[in-house]
Amino acid sequence: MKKAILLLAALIAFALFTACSSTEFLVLNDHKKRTPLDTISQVRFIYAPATPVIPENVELVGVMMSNTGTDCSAEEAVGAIAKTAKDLGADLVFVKEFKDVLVDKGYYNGTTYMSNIVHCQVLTADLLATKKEDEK
Amino acid sequence: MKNFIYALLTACALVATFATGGFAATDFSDFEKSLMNEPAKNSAPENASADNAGESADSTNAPTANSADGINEFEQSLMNVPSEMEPIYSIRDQLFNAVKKKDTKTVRQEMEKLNAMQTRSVIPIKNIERECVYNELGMFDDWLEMLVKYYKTVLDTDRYDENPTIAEKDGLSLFVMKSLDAQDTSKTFYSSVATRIQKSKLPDKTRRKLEIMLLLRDAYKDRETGKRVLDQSEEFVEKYPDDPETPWIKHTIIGPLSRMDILDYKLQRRAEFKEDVIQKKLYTGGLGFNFYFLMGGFGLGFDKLYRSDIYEADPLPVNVELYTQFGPAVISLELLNAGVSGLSSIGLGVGFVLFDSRYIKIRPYASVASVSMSVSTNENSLTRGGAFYTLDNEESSDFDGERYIIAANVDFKFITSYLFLSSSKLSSFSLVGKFGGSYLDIDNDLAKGSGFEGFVSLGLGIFFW
Repeated sequence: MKKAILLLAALIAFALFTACSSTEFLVLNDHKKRTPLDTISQVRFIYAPATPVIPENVELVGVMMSNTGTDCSAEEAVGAIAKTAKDLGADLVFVKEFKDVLVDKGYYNGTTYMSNIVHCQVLTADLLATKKEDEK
Repeated sequence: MKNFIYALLTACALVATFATGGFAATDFSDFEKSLMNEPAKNSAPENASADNAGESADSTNAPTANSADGINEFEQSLMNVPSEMEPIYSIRDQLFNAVKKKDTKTVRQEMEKLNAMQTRSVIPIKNIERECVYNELGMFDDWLEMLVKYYKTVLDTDRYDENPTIAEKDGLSLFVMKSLDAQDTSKTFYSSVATRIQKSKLPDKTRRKLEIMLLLRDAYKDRETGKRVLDQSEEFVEKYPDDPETPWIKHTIIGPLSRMDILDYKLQRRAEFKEDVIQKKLYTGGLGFNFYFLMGGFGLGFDKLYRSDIYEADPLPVNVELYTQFGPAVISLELLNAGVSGLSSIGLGVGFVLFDSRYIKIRPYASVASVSMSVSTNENSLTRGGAFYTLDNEESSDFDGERYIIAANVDFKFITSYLFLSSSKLSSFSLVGKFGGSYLDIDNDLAKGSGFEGFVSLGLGIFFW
């Protein structure tokens, strides 16, 4: 009986531990709810290696890294970041890093793993929202 | 950006090479005259060799067709400077002469004049030109002021009209081009001026700030430089908290650079939010495991519970409780010793969180349990009448009695931390105490009795919430 209870406890703990470990792609700065940008509004991109400063009248919404699992090409990565920024009410994206990485997009063919190494672009960016007049 | 600037300046310089032909020779320095002679040679048919004939033919698109008075069309276009630009070019000439003479006082005066002439539609001097002049003459204070102003306004796209008139294609432009050509592009810009700045007699504050501004252009080109800018900026704001640029440096430079690694940033943010998260999660759900190692108690009505001449009580060394919490409600499953030694029960309980805080949680509950008796023998065998019996050393009865428990758990959460990388899930390590009482009734081969008992247990617990 005792062994059964301890085994059950260990199994539950293991399930909890494994469920909580994951890679982060978006870290929000705060829990403030901002109005998403409308479909017409454009998100402005600043490429930090060329312009290494952010405007003064902005606040940080979050930091995002593009996910090579879903957005591999530069266009996909930029699109994903722009969409997230819009959804979160951020009108400015400060791209701090642009890396080319090798990613294995392999798959199982029956019982054999077929490796497929591809180049993916990873963007790391700050999502920023221009402060409203009453917030300055 | 750097490539763009180089390309732009290269284009400007090429144009400026031709442009110099449009002014009277007496107005130019030897250096400029030497440049003016070069296109003249190429364009003179009598000097054209067979080797460069093709080059001359290829250059028909360039404005090199000579007019009757010896001034080509392109040069004429340069002579038609808009009247509003004439004073600007005049000042630029004076500035250029002052640069050649290394007359910093005049340079500063002419710069101020040009700055005052800047409007939305006219750019009398470009930042790259200012920078080259300041760098060439070692005017570090002015350079710093210019850089701070530049970085503060670089993102203001409304500063100028769509197509502002830019003063260019003169001696100053040529000088800038020459300076840029002389730079070693294989190294960072800062490294080319670091020694001069460090050997200068600048005040510490100015020197530190200038170093930050000069390193900033390479801050996002490699992590090492970025880290250096971050470290120097943090040192600066710590040393000079009252400097007027300190808030700007914190927001504009330290902020983004301190968030380069998303995982580091996540850990930093969740550490800041930890107490808020804990407070928000009080009285919410979770899963807990408690292990009790120290147990004791008393019983009333269990004087002849078992054959103490044959057996002695053998209580379970460890008790276990597993509980799940839904809001303030709790369901628990526990293996628990009674206050009477040797008696233990396994039961299901329901309770609620009466009090929950950062460190203390009190959780009363009631449970119904089945009871078992655990004993060990005093002897390995015995003779009863004429029969001989061999006994197991340890023996437990089935769970066949009843126990009705009312008790309370008191947890002292001495460590509460995030669960691995989660920003919302917590784990608390606690000293756990349980005390209460029950009515217990057991009747089987090993034990027989009923009555009330009280118990206390102490142990350690972990709660995932």
